[in-house]
Amino acid sequence: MSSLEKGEEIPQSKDTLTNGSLSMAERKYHSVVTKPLAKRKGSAVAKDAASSETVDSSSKDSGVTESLDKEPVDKKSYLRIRTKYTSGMELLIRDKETALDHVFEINVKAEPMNMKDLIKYVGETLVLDGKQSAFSREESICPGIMVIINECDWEVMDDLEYVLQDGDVVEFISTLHGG
Amino acid sequence: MCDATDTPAMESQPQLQKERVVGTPSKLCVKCKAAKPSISIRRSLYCRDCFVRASVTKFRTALSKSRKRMPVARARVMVALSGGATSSAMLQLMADYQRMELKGYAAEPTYASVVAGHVDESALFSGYDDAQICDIAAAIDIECRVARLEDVFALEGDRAALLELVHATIAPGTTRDQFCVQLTRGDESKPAREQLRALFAGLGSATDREDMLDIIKSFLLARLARQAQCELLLLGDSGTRIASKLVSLTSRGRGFSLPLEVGAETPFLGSSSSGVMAYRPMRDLIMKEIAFFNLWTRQPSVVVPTFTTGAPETASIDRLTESFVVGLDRDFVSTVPTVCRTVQKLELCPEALTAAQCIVCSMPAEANAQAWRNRLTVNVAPSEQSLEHDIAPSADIQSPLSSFGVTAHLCYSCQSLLHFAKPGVALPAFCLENYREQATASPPSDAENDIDADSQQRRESLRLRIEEFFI
Repeated sequence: MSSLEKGEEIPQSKDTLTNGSLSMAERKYHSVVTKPLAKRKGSAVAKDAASSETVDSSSKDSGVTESLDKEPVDKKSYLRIRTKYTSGMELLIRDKETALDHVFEINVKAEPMNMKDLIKYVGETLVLDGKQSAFSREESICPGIMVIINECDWEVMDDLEYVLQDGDVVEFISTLHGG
Repeated sequence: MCDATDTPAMESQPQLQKERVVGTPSKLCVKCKAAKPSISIRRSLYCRDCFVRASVTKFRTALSKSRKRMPVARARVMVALSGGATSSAMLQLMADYQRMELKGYAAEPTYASVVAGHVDESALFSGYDDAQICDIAAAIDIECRVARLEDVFALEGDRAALLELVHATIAPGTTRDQFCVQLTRGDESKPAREQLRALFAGLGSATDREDMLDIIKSFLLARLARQAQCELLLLGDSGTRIASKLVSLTSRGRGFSLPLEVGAETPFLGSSSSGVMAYRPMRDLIMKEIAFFNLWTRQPSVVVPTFTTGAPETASIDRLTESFVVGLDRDFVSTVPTVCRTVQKLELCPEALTAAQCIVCSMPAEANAQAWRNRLTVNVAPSEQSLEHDIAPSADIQSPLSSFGVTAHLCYSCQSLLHFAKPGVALPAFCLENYREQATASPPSDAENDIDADSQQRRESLRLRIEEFFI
């Protein structure tokens, strides 16, 4: 529980992230996953998540684990965002289970989170090393990747500036290699 | 006079305004004007139901436009199903159209029956489940016929043989490239899969491999359609695919046969004597529309890998043009429709209508394509080239067969493909079939060959005279 409050430092990536909005470290994201995170080199997230009581390592199902409900989550400052990566996107994501379903818990006390930040965060944590350029480019998503928020095209709702709400389901699908 | 000082008008001129407009004020579907929009296509907002209906209408309109050139009254249709998003959507749309007609609204259905045809690529690519693709067809009660890639190397009968590439670089005085092949019975102990992999391993680049894969798939689809007695083949080329194909085929030197490869209808796919007619009814739908259509109609599809899956942009010409067109289309939303409109205006030139067919790709082969290649800059002056004969060892030939030239039977693009192929590469069996067909149909006109050789010699002697002035 306390781990949520103190969060942990997300290691800054080599690229500069600051563009006026809060940097990743300042935002203190805590990502909750359904399976124990695979070890990533030098990743503080992996070490803390593995020891965090919120991760249920015996759970094999995809979907939100029970432990999420036990946390005393302050609804106003924490959002749960479910993300999916299908139709070719799973090739960019580090493992299949994450690609099927991955839930983020995000602290938005300081500043609301928009799609731009989510894309940046996903690019750093979930995308395989070396494939970042196939996922995000120039602060936005790569052309050819569709973003669907709650079964709706994101271009209908403010595109990159869309502010995430609790319970949103964001799906990324690739239209390259359409057959 | 034009003033070079900075004026506000001058400053805004160079940059084309990017067109991505989001969050328009009147947030309602443009069609029904009642529901909340769920998708934005070319800056127009549509709600889910109107969008699905509009997509279905686009498909049916495209199909009915092509119907004017239908080969027979009630054709049997084969839907080419690769398992990807576009072909799965096309199968659903076609099945839905057929069901609607059979329900009795039409006096007689336009198309007699619908089957699905699939080419199994597991000989070259792993990582996808072929059974899933047949399940897609089975889910809507459509029969699925499967051909395997390695079938092009399955030899039958006693006349069976393969054409093997013999690459000879001739000393100065004659043409630069000579494409010679020889008949070989092939290594019968090697399974067809191995021969297929050997073919692809012997090709020069990822672009060539993709080209050869397309050629083999087209041939197999046409053959599947013929075997199923279908007069019509539906190809799943989306608008985005057609736009990027236009650019990439032109870059590969296929401009001569371009209208056949990107047009709405292809009168004959496969050889002209036994080809099938092919339509591209998904040409009005861009990839985004197809992706959302599949999402909202819960249409399953399979990601089928290819040579450049996961590779960087510069892996092949196709990959590069795809990322170029898709990138451009995102910022300027009318890119793909504009290019597709241009595509519809393309027509074959008169020479293409009467040209002989290339024995590899079965597209019209431009006569004198060889002359074009000879005008390319050479790295090494011909006088410095040594006489090389790379004759590959070939097993199991009963009588020593000499190599013969097939330069006149190859289109420009296939000449480039074979130019970079390793000697000893065995071409698929259909190449020999095509060659035999053409050889029996029209004996080679020796007179024409002589005239060509004569002018070549004259040109060569002139070149030798002025060679010292070259830099």
